[in-house]
Amino acid sequence: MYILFTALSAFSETISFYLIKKIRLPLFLSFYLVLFSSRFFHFFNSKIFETAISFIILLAFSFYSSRKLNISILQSSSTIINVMICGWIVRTLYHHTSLLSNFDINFFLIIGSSIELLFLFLLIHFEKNCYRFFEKRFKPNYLLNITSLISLFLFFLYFYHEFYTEFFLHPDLIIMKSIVTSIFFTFVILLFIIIIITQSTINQREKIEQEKAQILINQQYTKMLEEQAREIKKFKHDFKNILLSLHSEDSSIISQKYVQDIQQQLLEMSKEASFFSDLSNINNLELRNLLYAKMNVAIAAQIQISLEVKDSVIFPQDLLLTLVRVLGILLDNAIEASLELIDLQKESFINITFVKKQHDYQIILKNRYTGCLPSFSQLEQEGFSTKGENRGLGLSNVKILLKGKPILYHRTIKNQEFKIILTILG
Amino acid sequence: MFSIFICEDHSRQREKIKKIIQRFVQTEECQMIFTLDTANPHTILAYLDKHPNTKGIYFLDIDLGIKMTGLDLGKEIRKRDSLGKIIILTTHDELAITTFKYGIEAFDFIVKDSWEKIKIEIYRCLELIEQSQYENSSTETFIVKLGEFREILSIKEILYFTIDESNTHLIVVHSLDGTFEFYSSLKSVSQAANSFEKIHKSFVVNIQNIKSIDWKNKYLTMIDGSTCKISRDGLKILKQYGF
Repeated sequence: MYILFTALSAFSETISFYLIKKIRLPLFLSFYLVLFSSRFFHFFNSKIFETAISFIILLAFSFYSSRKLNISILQSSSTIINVMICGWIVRTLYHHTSLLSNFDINFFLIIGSSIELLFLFLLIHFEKNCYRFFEKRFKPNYLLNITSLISLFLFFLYFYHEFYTEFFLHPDLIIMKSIVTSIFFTFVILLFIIIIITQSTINQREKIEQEKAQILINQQYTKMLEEQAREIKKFKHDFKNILLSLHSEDSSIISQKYVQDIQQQLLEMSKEASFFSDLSNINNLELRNLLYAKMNVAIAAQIQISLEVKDSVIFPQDLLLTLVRVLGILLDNAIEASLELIDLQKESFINITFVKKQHDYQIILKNRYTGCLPSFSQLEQEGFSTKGENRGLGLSNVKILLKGKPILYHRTIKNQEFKIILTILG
Repeated sequence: MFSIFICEDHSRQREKIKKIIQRFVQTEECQMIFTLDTANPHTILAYLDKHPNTKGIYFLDIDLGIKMTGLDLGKEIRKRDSLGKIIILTTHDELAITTFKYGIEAFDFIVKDSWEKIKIEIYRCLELIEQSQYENSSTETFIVKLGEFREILSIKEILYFTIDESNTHLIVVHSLDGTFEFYSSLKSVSQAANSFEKIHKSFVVNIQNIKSIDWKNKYLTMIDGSTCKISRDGLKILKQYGF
C-alpha cells in the first residue's frame, strides 16, 4: 500500500514538472526514480525534509537543462506548489464531502490520485494561459523574474507552514519557535535581496550592450550621411561647371545636341544624388542600415538597384528582427541573381519598394534573373540553389521565419522577373 | 460614364493637359466627360464627397507644391472611388512606379517629356480605359484582400487554393505565376467563382485548369503538374462536370 502511495505522489510531482517543462522520456524516468526512491526509502522521517529534498532535486534537474536560475526557480517551486494545491483540493473533498469518503481507503487512493492528476492538468494549463496572456504585456525577462519570485515566496510560505505544524505544535519547543521563525524569514529576505540585486546587474549589463549596439548603428548612419553630403557637394560642383560652360559660349552657337547632352548629364547626376534619399523615410535604424549596406554591395557590383520609399515607414519592434532577417535573405538572393546576369553581360535590375496604407505595409522586391527557374515548391526546399548544394538555405528559411507572424508572403515569377511581396498587417 | 479630373499646380501645364483631354472627349464619341481641373487637391476630394458614386479618371501630378503629394491625394481618392483610374504625371527623377502601382493601383504613368509625347500618352491611356469598359472584366477576376491592400488575380491563371499547415485561416492560392497568401476560408473561396469547386477538406480547385484525374488513387493533376487530393464527395462533384 505504501509503495503505491509513494509511487503515485512521486508520479504526480513528476507529471506536474513535465507539464511545466517538456523533458525527454529517459530524463522523465530517471527523474521519477530519484523522487520515488527518496520517498520510498524514507531517508528523512518528516514531511518538510521530503519537500525540501524534492525541491532541491527539481531545482537541480531544471538548472541542468536550462542553465538559468530564474527559470529553474520558477519551474521547481511552481511544481511543488501545484502538487500541494491539488493535494489539498483532494483532501478537502475527502474530509468535507461524502463524495469520496464513502470509498474504501485503497480505492480512494486511486480515485483521489486520478482526480489530483486531473486538477494538475487543469491548473497548469490555466497557469500557462495566464502567463501567455501577460507575456504580451510585459517584457519577457521581467515577467519571468516576477513570477519566479512570487512562486518562490509561495513555496517558502508553504514550507514554513509545514515546518510550523511539524515542530512547533510540540509544547517543548515553544521557545525555539521565535528563533527559528526569525532565522527563517531573515533567510528568505536575504535570498530575495540577492536575487533582486543580481537581476538588476543583469539588466544593467543588457542595457549597456543595447546602447553599444545603438552607438554602432548611429556611427554607421553618420558615415552614410557624410557620404551623401559628399555626393551632393560633387553634384553642386558639376552643376556649376555646366552652368559656366553655358555662359562661356556664345548663346547663339549652342547647338541642340549640346543642350540634350547637358540634359542627359543633369538627369544622371540627379539620379545619383537621390540614390539614398528615400532611405531617410525608413525610421527603423536596423532596417535602414541593412538596406544601405546591401545597396552599397549592389552598387559596387554595378547592379542597377533602386529604392522607393515615399511614405514614412516605421515597423513595430517585435516584427523588426524578422523583417531584417527576411529582407537580408531576399536581397542576398536578388544580388546573387543579378551578378549572374552581369557575368553574362545582360542588364540587371533590382527594385525595392515600401508602400504604406493606413496601418498596413507592403514591401515589394523585384529582380531580374537568368536561365530557367524551377517552381516555387522546389525553390523552397531546404538546401535548394541554382548553384548546387548548401547555398540555398534562403527561401526555405524565409517561410520558417514568417511562420505565425502577421506577414503575408507572395511570390511570383513572370517574364524573367522574380517578385516577392510581403504584406505586413498592422 | 467616366468623369475626368486634373490636379496639377503649374497653371500653364494644367491648361495644356486640359485642352488635350477636351479635344479627345469631343472628337471621339466616348463615355467620358471633363469634370474639373484644379491646383488644389481638396477640390477633387470635396467633389467626390458630394458625389459619392463618381467613376473617375484622375490625372495627378506627383509634386503638388504643397504638403500633400500626388501619392497622398491618390490614397484619399482610392478611399472614395475604388474603381477609378489614376494616371500619374511626373518628371523622370521623381518617378516611383512600383510605389504608385501598389500604393494606389495607378493605371498608368505619363512622363513629362515633350508635349508631343504627353499628348500621345494621354490619348493612349484614355483609349485603353474606353476599351476596358467594353470587356466586362469583373467576372474574370478574383480579388484577394490583404488588409488595406488588394491583389487582382485573373481567374484563368488560378490553379487551386489550399490551407496553410500552421494556420487554418490562412489560404494559399497557387496560380500559374506563383503563390499568394490571404486570410479567408475555403468555403467562401469556393463560392467566389463558378469554376471553383471544393473537392477535399483542404483543397478548392479551378475546374478550368485540371489536366487529368486519377479516379483510383483519388487525386488530380493541374496543368502545371501539381497535384491535389480528392475526397469521395469531391469525386461526385467532378463527375457532374463530366470528367
